[in-house]
Amino acid sequence: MAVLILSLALFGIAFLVQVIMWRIYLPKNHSAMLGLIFLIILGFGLFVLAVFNFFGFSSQWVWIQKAQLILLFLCLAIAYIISYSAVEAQSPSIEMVIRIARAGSAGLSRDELAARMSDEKLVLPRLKELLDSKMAILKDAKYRLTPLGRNFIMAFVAYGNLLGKKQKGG
Amino acid sequence: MFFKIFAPFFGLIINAFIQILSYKYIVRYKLLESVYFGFFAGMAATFISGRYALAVNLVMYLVLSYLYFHFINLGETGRRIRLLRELYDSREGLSLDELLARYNGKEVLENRIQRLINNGQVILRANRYYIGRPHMLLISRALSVLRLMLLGRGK
Repeated sequence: MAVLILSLALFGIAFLVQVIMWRIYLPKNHSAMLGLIFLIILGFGLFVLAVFNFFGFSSQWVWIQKAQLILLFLCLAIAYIISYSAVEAQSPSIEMVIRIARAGSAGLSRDELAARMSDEKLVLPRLKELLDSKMAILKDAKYRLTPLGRNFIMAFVAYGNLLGKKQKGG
Repeated sequence: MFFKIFAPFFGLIINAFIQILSYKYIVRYKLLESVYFGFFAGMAATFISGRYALAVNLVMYLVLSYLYFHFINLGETGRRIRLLRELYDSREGLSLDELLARYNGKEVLENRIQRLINNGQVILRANRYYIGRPHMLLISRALSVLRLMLLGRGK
């Protein structure tokens, strides 16, 4: 239970550090900074644990407990960083739900819903992100996958093939 | 002892295995139902194999299952994933017009509104859309609170 409590406490501290930091200075690369915050807080937690153990303030932690602490904390950190993208950029589905909710009992027609759903808003920014993250390149007016993009998409293609899915989603 | 700390990962493997099997042979191509099947099978496997520090193992399994669900969801709904798939299927590359002919804002709208209707989040009545189940609305409100907390009103 101590492992669970300490992992959650460290996660809470990392979140608090993020809130304070974001209010003072918004970093350019949110995910990279989040990753750094989580690693520093993990290191800090392990250091404090070692000090407590050294001076006999707490019971001795065996290596297996430390391994569990690291694994659980890293899993929580990855889950948070992945979910954070929903804070950075509004999902179209969520935007649609918000607009339908705002319309209340009057409801929303398809045309009203489609009014702000253009290629410029929904597709082109994502295409630019692929170029920025070097997953795709634009060469001779053609978009192509880079080796990084190909390796990344292979996991999804393989999973889709395993399920026998024909639809591409999106 | 060494195996015990990897019980959640063992649970995740069982989760994925059962999810794929159930998708193909039990629930017959209903993705969300197959996710539930996999999740509970993996949880049972974690419970049986991870009795050492059960609470930690179960929480870690929940987080790993969330990551797996996120992977599935990304493949289903991610716009970047869809664009990468279109480029993957076109070895010669695609011009912007060709890419937009295959995937565009209209299709994003169609796919998403259909999913929201299928999941009961949105109701279509007399050619107008209304909120159905409020789950997605609650998620959007939770995200708004988090956004406000992190970014404030001004940013």
